[in-house]
Amino acid sequence: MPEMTLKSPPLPRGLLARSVDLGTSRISAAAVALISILIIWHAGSIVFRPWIPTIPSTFVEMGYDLTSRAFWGDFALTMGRVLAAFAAASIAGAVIGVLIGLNEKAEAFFQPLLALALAVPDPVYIIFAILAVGTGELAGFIALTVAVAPFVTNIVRSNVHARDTDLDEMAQVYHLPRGVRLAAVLFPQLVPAFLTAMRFSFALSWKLVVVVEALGQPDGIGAAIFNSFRLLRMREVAATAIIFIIAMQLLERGVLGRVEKKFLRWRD
Amino acid sequence: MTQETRPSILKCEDLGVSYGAVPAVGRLDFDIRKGEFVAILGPSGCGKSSMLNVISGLRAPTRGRVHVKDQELFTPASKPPRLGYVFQSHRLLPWRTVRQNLEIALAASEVPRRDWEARIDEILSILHIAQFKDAWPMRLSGGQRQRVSIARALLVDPAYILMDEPLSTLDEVTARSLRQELTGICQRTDATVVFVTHSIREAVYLADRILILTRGPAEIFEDYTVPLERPRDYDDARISEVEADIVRRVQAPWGLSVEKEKAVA
Amino acid sequence: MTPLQKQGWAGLALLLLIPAWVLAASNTTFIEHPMIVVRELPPFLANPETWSNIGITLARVAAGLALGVVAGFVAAFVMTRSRFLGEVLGYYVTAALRTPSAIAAILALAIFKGSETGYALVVAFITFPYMAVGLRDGLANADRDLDEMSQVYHLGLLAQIRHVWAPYVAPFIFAALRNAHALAWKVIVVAEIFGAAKTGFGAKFEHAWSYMLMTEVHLWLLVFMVIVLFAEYGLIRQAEKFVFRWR
Ligand SMILES: Nc1ncnc2c1ncn2[C@@H]1O[C@H](COP(=O)(O)OP(=O)(O)O)[C@@H](O)[C@H]1O
Ligand SMILES: [Mg+2]
Repeated sequence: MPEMTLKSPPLPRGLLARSVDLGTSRISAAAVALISILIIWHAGSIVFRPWIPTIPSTFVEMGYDLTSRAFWGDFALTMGRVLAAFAAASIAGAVIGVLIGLNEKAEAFFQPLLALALAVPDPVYIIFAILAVGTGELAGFIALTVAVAPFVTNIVRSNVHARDTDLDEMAQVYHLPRGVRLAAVLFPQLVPAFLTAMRFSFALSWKLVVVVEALGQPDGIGAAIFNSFRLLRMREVAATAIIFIIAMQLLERGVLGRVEKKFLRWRD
Repeated sequence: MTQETRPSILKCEDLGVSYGAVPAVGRLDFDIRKGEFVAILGPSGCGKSSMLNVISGLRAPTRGRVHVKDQELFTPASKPPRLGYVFQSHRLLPWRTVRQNLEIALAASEVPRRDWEARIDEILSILHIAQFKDAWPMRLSGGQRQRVSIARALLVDPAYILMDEPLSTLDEVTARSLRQELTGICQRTDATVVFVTHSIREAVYLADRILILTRGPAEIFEDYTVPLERPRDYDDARISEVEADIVRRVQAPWGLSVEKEKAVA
Repeated sequence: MTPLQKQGWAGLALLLLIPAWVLAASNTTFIEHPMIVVRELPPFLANPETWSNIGITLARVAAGLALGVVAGFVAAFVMTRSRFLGEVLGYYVTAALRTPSAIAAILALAIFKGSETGYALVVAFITFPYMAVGLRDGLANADRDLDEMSQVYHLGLLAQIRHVWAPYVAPFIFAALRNAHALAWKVIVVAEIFGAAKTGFGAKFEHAWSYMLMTEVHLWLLVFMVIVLFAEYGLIRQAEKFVFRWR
């Protein structure tokens, strides 16, 4: 996705003022969405029996998962892998993105390499990582990091380009030292980009971790899902996937949402 | 002390700026002395901003020399000049409070740290924005932001202050009050100011001296000393007279055609 | 920097890949020497089976992407027209956005028993939320900025779409399309591998890998990347340039 100038979504404004009337429509929208999804699911479970599991059996399975130690063990393992790769990819991608965003030559040099890196299918990274370092934690970590970092680089780079050069000029006129220019002039402009990149990198990391675990790891949520699938236990596939998807959504909302509020409080 | 005997702050000789083969500034020679308020007056596109880029040290001229005090700029040994700059837009860091914006500029200046607090308080109260010391710039009005920008320019002990149409984006009421205060503040702090504008009346009201430029590529059409004592009144008839006088002079070189509207009989 | 200098740096980067490849080949057992790969390339390309497999993957991507684009358009349109439906659809978009393509592939394979519909649907399902979100932002912007103007000038509906709306939304369409397109290629490989496909790039790649036919692994990867890059830079970006030639 070579040219993403993603902007971070605007912060909710005047939340208190709107919450009264919008609150009810929000809730009814959520209800409509949920009910319609359940209806579609139910219809699917009848038409595509047994490939789409029934709703009650899936919920029972989810309850079983949520109370099982093995599930939480897998969950913690996968979480750890996601977070490690997410952190590494975010940092590496952001550093490279800033460097090549500020330097035309570096940019011209890295542009084709980035395009190539983005054209490599994810399983290829995993396979080559396994060949290179064996089927350990390291292979998954490397594969995830290498697959995700180019996206981060792209987002950050294009936002470095879109920075306010008027402020660069101001910094030059007032002789601000290089460190201040980076820390006080450039980086705050990139915060929304960093947040978008982190969102993206987080989402991508845990989407890919399933592939990584399925192909190269005996444990974790992804491996569990793939195993259930091999044994054609679709109930387990659906239950595990739903729990994991919801957990990741909540985590992203909660943590990154809070970070965003803290860093962007200067906006009107 | 008369102006002539005060030390020279900014001196340009045979200054020229071209973009590729296209000249933007033709040839400028002028000398600005300590404490002077000089307006640069010229039509849009004549090369005013290009000139400011040079005398702010941002861009080397294509031709000529610039001296700040005793030092020649754009030589290998020269340091960039210490100056204040009030841009057309405020150019404050929106993620820093007013005080932090001022401190960042101070930290890069030679003002000792122990003086910062007192100086900031003083300049903010002179500019009537003391109550916004810890506010985010985005929460201020356009006029208040531009006041902060002026405070920043005055604070850093600048050799001179450049202002590039700093009032042109403000509404007329705000611009008036700021215009009125600006001369007072500059005299009080004995600041040397180069004020770029395309408004003749504004130049007459503010400046000791007006460098009237030709149409681009800019050359000096006339070095005009404003024949009015201070304090001045923006609505005074004598300002209108001087303004009309300048309009008469630039009519031909700027290609103005000032015809009196005649009442329809 | 002049365009020529830019190309120079880009060319240098690509040139340096060759010694890097040679170095990697001599230090590992699983990376082949580029000479071997180059020698095998002509027979590989002459083999009609190569092209039939690529053609199948290409068809899956094209069908899925077309479906995803249409679905994304519809979703974005509804989301900007109705606040309520927009919120409802938002949940669907989020759900699709959050579903790992491997899981989508597994489910689609199970449901459609490896038929072509399954692959197209996986690609559509994964790409549509990206189209929807990108276009929604574009449409929302256009609404804000342009509605008044077209009302002021009393333009007819067709003229509105052609002269006002389309030029404004086109950049968003292309940005979203580029994202969706890049994603589609990534998804199809995952889907083919996880869906245990018998044909297509992913299937052949997996096959070569599990039998440790490393030269073939390299060849497939090489051809795949060339096609993806051609589609992006040779087709989409050229179309974009053509559409924006007035700029
Ligand atoms: N970076 C640039 N490259 C090429 N031409 C420029 C550039 N900046 C300004 N010019 C041209 O130089 C002339 C003077 O511009 P400028 O100094 O901005 O005028 P002013 O500030 O008086 O309006 C204009 O004709 C303008 O088009
Ligand atoms: Mg200008």
